[in-house]
Amino acid sequence: MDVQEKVIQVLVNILQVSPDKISIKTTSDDVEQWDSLNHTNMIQALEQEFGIRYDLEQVVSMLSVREIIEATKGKLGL
Amino acid sequence: MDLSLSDIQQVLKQVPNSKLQGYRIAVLRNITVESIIPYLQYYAFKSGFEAKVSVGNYDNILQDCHGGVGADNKPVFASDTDCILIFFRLEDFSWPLARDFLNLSPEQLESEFERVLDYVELTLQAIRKQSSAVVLWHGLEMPIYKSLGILEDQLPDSQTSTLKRLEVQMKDIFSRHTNVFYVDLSDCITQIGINSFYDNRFWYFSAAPYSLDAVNVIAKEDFKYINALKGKNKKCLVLDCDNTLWGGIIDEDGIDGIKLSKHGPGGSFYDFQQELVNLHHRGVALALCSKNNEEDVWEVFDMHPEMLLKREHIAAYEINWEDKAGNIKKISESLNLGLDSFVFIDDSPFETDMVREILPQVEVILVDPKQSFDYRQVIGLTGYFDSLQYSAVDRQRTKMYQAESGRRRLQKRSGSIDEFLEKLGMEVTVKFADEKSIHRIAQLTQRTNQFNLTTKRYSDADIKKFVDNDTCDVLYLSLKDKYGDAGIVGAVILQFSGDTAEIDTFLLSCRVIGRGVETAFLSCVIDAVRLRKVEIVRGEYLPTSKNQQVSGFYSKCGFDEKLRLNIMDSSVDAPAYFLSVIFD
Repeated sequence: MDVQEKVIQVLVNILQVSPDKISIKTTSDDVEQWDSLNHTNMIQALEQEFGIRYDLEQVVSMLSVREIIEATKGKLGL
Repeated sequence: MDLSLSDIQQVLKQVPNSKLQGYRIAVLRNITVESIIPYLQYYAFKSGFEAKVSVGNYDNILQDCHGGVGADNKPVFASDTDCILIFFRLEDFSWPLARDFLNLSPEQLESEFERVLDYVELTLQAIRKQSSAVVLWHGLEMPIYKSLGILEDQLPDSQTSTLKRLEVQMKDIFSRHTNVFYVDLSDCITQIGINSFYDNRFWYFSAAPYSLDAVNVIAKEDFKYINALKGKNKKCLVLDCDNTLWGGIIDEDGIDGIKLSKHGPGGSFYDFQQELVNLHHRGVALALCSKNNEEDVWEVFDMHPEMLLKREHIAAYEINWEDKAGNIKKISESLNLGLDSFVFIDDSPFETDMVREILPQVEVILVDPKQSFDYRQVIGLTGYFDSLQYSAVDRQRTKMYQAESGRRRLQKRSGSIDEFLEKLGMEVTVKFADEKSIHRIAQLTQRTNQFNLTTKRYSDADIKKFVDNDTCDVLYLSLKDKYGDAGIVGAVILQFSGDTAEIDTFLLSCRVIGRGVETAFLSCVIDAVRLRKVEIVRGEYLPTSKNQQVSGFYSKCGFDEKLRLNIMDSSVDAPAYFLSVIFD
């Protein structure tokens, strides 16, 4: 599974939505469940999944699937 | 290994269909802590409950206790709530105490100290008016970065020492309410370390101080209490023998070949056995379930010189070649204990997998003999057997310990506490009030709640009236010790009529409670009464919700049931450890 697929799977789990609701184009505005609490949970779940740690600026700004994938790849050195 | 949040959410999908008994939890808080909800639900599920969690309004603990409503417009908790979790972070309630300690004047410190204790008391009273739910109060995180560094632990008035005193007083308040328990977050922090506990990114992002690992540990800790109260704590520990109680296999290695010794590598098994013996003394039933010849196992128990576990510690056993699930069921029947109160430890994945599959109610732990050096932790950290019941036997043992120590205390007055107090070099000075001290005395009457016999509030003008009145004496007490001058920390107002001196007011700042200062003060008060050639002193105690700790003060000092003392017949002496007690 590549980074994009893993990221989407974690989001689906944490936000508890059906998989068709999350795609590379999704932003936090599109999903009602993507509030600040789930955002925090999502960050920690991604960190657990990939074994990385995001910066505070990233935590604050990763508000779309695209930005999450970019930040994650950056931390993985990809 | 703990489950990740995603795994937990998967498990929780089963909950709505499982028709479990509901357990209502309300969370009151002054921080963001919603991340704990799935963990609470998970541990509730493991204990056979479906948790319904409602979260109070941010930093509205007290208001929520007075009928605050949640986001769903329903009261945060009600009479049918089972458990109330309180997250009261000190730095959010009192930045001065938590973070700005070195800047505090003694008056500000005292004021903040009282403010915290008042808040705790008021919150609990408001809760108890509506609900008898068990209350788990989380606190008090000690400062990570000590304000004076290594000096902190050496000084009795440092921030750390002060906060530890605050914690003791909070626990005292909890003990005077029913079903209110203190969950020490320091224990949780110790389990995973500060770096794993706090995630400052989320603090600055959304005022959520704790990591997911932290709320996991906290929820686990909370459920130790809930399980104990609901009788869901475990009562029986079933043990394999080979590679669990000793290293090696008795059948193959013989009694001389197995590893079991006080020192060296065999010591890990010896230490593990000591923990098991401790569990036995706590009232846990120990049982053996081993695939072995009975005589071989008992030979170790009876003949091995380093065997701590003995036959008398074993409540039941099934030592044979049949399957362990069936054996455990037999043990459950013979002990008349439900399988859901069982914990089973074995080093074989075959056995543990099988028991897990056939008897899912049993808590199964797989141990690795190559990591036997960690066997002690296997039970220690889980709290499976924790109980809030103190059995009659425990009570008896405690009574015996108490009687012993009481006797020893009487024999030798200089216990270690007295020595410590003596080392403080406390100098007590008691004087009649003058112009300069009136304001401070009035302030003390307004602020002091805990060590205050009558809680009468006076203004500066009131105190001045007492001072100017010929039939009244106003006394104040100042305290100095090795570490500094605490200033005026006590006040007494005496009213004389006929042959009696009435103690209208007797109070001490909460900062100096627990040092016997009150006894020194009372001895000077009696000297003041003698000056007026009066024989009878009468005290008064007006109970409030906050001063219960002084209800026995006068009788402890020799006053009769009417709180009268005849100073011609008896007197009150200041404890010997004071450097000086001067009545000016």
